[in-house]
This record gives sequence, C-alpha cells and structure tokens, in this order.
Amino acid sequence: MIRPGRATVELLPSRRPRPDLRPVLQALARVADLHASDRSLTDPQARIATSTDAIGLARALRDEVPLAVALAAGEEPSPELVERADALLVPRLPGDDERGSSARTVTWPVPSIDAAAHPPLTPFVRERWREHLGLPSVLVLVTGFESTTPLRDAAVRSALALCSSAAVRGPQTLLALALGAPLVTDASEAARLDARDDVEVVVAAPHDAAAAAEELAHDVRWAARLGWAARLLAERRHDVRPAADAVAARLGLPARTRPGDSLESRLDELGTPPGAAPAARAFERCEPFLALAGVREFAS
Amino acid sequence: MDICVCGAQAPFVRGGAELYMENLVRALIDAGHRAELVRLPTAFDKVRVFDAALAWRLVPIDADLVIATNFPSYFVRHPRKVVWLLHQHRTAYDAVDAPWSDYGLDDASLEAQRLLAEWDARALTEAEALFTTSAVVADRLARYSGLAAEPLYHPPPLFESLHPGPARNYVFCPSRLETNKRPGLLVEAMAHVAAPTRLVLAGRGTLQADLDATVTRLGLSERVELPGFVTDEQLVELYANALAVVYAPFDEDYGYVTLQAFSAGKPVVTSEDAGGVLEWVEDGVTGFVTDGSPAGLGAAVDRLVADPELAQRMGDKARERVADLSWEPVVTRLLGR
Repeated sequence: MIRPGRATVELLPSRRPRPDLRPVLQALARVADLHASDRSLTDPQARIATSTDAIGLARALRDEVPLAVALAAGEEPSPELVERADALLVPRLPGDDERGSSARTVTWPVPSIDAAAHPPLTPFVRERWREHLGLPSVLVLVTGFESTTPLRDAAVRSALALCSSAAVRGPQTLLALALGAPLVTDASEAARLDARDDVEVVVAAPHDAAAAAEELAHDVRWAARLGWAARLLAERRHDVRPAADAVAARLGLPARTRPGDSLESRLDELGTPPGAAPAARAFERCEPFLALAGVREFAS
Repeated sequence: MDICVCGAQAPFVRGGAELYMENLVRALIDAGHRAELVRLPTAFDKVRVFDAALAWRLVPIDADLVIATNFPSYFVRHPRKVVWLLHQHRTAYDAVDAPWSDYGLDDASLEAQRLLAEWDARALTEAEALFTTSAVVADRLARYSGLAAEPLYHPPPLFESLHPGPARNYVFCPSRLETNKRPGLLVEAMAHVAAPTRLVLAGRGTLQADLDATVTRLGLSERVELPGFVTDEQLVELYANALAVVYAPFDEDYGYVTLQAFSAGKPVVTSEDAGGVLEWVEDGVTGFVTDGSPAGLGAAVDRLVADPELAQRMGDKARERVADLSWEPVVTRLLGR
C-alpha cells in the first residue's frame, strides 16, 4: 500500500518483558517505523514508553516530543504522566469499559488479534477449498479439549481456515473467531472472549462440544450466521488496529490525506488484504492520476 | 424525501431487473418523494467484477436515503443505506457450477470467491435494513453470507393492465433468450406434447439462433413461434389469450413471468428447480411443478390442453393468489415506517 513519508517512532524499552504489547506495536508499525531506543536516533516524531519504568522515560517527560506510555493492567498513572503523556495505553479485559479513565486513555483489548492479518472464510468458501484440496466435504475440527491431540500452531491455522466447524478451547479460540470459523467452545472461553451463545459461538459443555460441532457443520445457514458474527466480534472486541490508530492519532502521526488514500481506505473497510488482486488493479488503473497528485508508491 | 435507487447496469441488457428498478422509482414518486435511478455499468467476469464494486464505494451520492437493489450497487456508501436485494453475483455462489460461471477450483478463483464473499458481507452488513425480493434470495443470503433478510413481495410490471381472456390453443412464455432462462428446454418439451397446441416464446437474447436451429431440428416449425420482441400491449394480449404459461428457468430470483401469468389468470407449468417461481406455483392448484424434464413439462401441457376447465380453475386460483400485491406496503417497509 501507499507509504507516503512514514513517521519514525522511538520505543523506550521496559525493564520487564511486555509480550502483551506486541500486537499493538505490530499494528502501529503499519503507519509508522518503530525503532528501539538508540543514540543514532536523533529526531523521532514520537515516543512510546513500553512501561512506566521504561528506560529513558524520565528524559522523555522533559521534552516536547509526543509521548505514549503503556500501563500495566490495573496500574494507576502518576499525576505527572497524566499531565504530560499524549496517550496512556491501558489493557482492556473482557467486561471493562472501553472508554478508559481519562480522555487520553487508549485501551487495547486483551486477548487481542490483528484481525486484518487473518481474513475470514465463509462456510461456502471453506467447502470449495476442501473440494479443491481433496478433503472430505464435511470436516469437523476438535482441539484444545482433553480428549484431543494438540496440533502445531501452523497446522491449527490451516485447519481452522478449512473446517466446516470447530470445537476449540485455549489460545487458538480467538484465531478461530477471526477466521469466521463456525465455532463451539465452553462457557469460560466464551466469557473470556465476550462471545454469546448462539450469536457468535455455540456454548457447550466439554463432553458435548464435538457433537455440537458436528451438528453445526451440517447446518450451513446456522454456520454462516455464526461464522460472520464471530468475525465481527473479533474485529469489534479484540482487534488491535483501532487502538493502534488511536495512538497514532494522539501522537500526531501523519493521517491519510492524499488522493490515493481514500481508495486505500475504501479497500481497507471492505477487509481487502494488502496486495489483493482487486487492490493492485485499482491502484494500477488510478496510477497516472495519483502520480499527478504526488502519490507514487504502490503495493506489489 | 430525496431517494436514490441504485442498480447495476449491464449495457445492452434489459429484463426484469431494469423493470424492477424503474417501477420502484415510480412507486416512490407516487408516494410523494423525489426519486431517481442511479446506475453504474458493471462487468461480471471474475476480474472486473471487483472494479464495479469499488466504483460504487467511491461515488458520492447526495440523497436522504439510498435503496440498493442488486450486485454490486449495494457497495454504495451512504449513512442511510437500505438494501432490497434482487440478487448477489450468483455465479460466485449458488450458480458456481453452472456452465456460465467462470469460477473454478483454481487458487485464483477461490481467493476471488473468498474476497467477494467478505466484501459482500461487509457491504450488506452496513445496511440499516436488509430486504430481499423473495424468500429464495433471502435463503441464499442466509446460506452464503450468514445474513438475515425479510422478503418483500411486489407486483410485476403491467400488473394493472394484465387481465384474463379466452384461452386459445397455445401456451406462452415471455423471456430473455439466455442460458439461465432455459428457453431451449421449453422448445424440447414441445416435442413431447401430443396435443396439437403451439408454444409462443417471445423475447430476444443470445440464444436466438440456437433456438431457431433446435426448432428446425425437432421439426417444430409449425408448433413453436419465436416472435422476438413484443410490445407491452402485445404482451398483455398474449398472456390474456394463452391456455397456460410455461416457465422453467434455473433457480429464478423472483420470476415476473409467474406473477404476470397469475395476474392474467393463467396457470404456470414449471420445474422443481425454478427457484422463486416455486413460491407461487402450487402443484395441482395454481399450475404444475414438474421434474423439469422435457417429457415432464410436455405431459403437464398435455394435461391442461386435455382439460381446459382445469386450466381455468387453476388460473382463477392463481389470480386470487396475487390479488393483494401492491407497491404501497413495499414503499412503507423500505422507508422504515
């Protein structure tokens, strides 16, 4: 996609690992170049402190470079931080208020996923892929329950993308939601993901989950309804991109304003993956005009 | 209220979809609104089909409300978008295995289908209300996109002009002469009709030459008439004077022919895979639902020729079936009142 004049953002490292922040930072990397703190980095356009004890935060508080600070769950920011930081990043757990405690608070969901990196597949498209690959016309995946064999991560993603329905528990459940898999899970997992029974998922007791998934696999209308609702839930409640976009806006990182950007926005809102054939074709057809407006870089 | 009705334009094609859009605009104007039809050309091959959808995303439409009708017009962006769906891009969905579909099981086709399904679901989810022209279309939407919609039935073109008349010795079908309408099936059925009755198959299309050849090959020149385009006045009279209407398209969305036949008090002979037609034709009551074979269709025609009183009774029932259709409740529902 178009990358006009990307901003440079300095990351101030935490003294403790913050793996929970990784999805937000990855999403932010779409719109800005993120650099680890380094003496050679002389003129960042913004800074992100990955914790309240991040190395270099004290110095950052004294200058005027736009600053975001990541808090831990339940951590109260100091008055100085509230006064100085342009954005306070706060993890949002299921059931938490999305708005946060102050106007500068940006919440990001836990658990979270970069939904756009995992495009959804409807039951009909899954069926076509199975036909293409010579797989059974109905394929039910059961994983994460005691009686099932754990699958490798890569295998789980493929299986979740191809299955007619899935009974899933554990860390892969959110991925299943994002892929629009018609999904059966247990009550605690549904609560962890804010998913409702017969709206986004089917909630079943562990010993009934496989049978429920089998039933779901044979009802394509039910499966299609749940699968699309699951995808929308993953985007609405667990997608990190809105948080990343909000941080970018608070840090004053360049907003989309060029002529080609409206085309990119229209493609984004339809969930078009970068480099998808229709996107490349649209940009190719518009290129002479976008070039006149100074927009020259396009996705491959 | 200022309302734009949005619809796809397939250049040089005119059929039920075009009449449906024009009649909707007229009904909105009759209800006291300012209404206009906005159409953008589209192409239906699996590469360019996305161009037209994206074009709708970028077109500014200043109106109080938009009513989108068919693929890809429902990609229009508007804060008040109502969709009254005539159909999605069927060759990517229910008609994927039809001879005219260009979607195979290759990677490019499958990704195009995946993306189209996602685009469709997003564009349709934006709508503040989602209606379809029939239960068949609503069912496809549930099956392929996981979305719920309310069927909203409307009267066919010429509804107020159509009338019963004395049955003469022919069965009638007005149709675009295209593959999905299966006009060739009706010609082949005539080879199985024992009674000395005729088929009048009116309309134009790309299959004209093939049909002429089939008529000659089957020795049906005296029994099958292909008059081409007929005016509205001729159409009304052809309906009025027919013994019955024979109409067996493949999985029709709605099927104006059925509703027009019923309005003219004529029974309809159809096939069990005719889609929206089956929402109206009740086997043995308002027509015959056959197995769709030429022999089956021919036998049903023979039965009506042999028993004109049965045809009359069925036609009367058929006319009762559509008597309540009106644009007024349709407009009321579309505008959310």
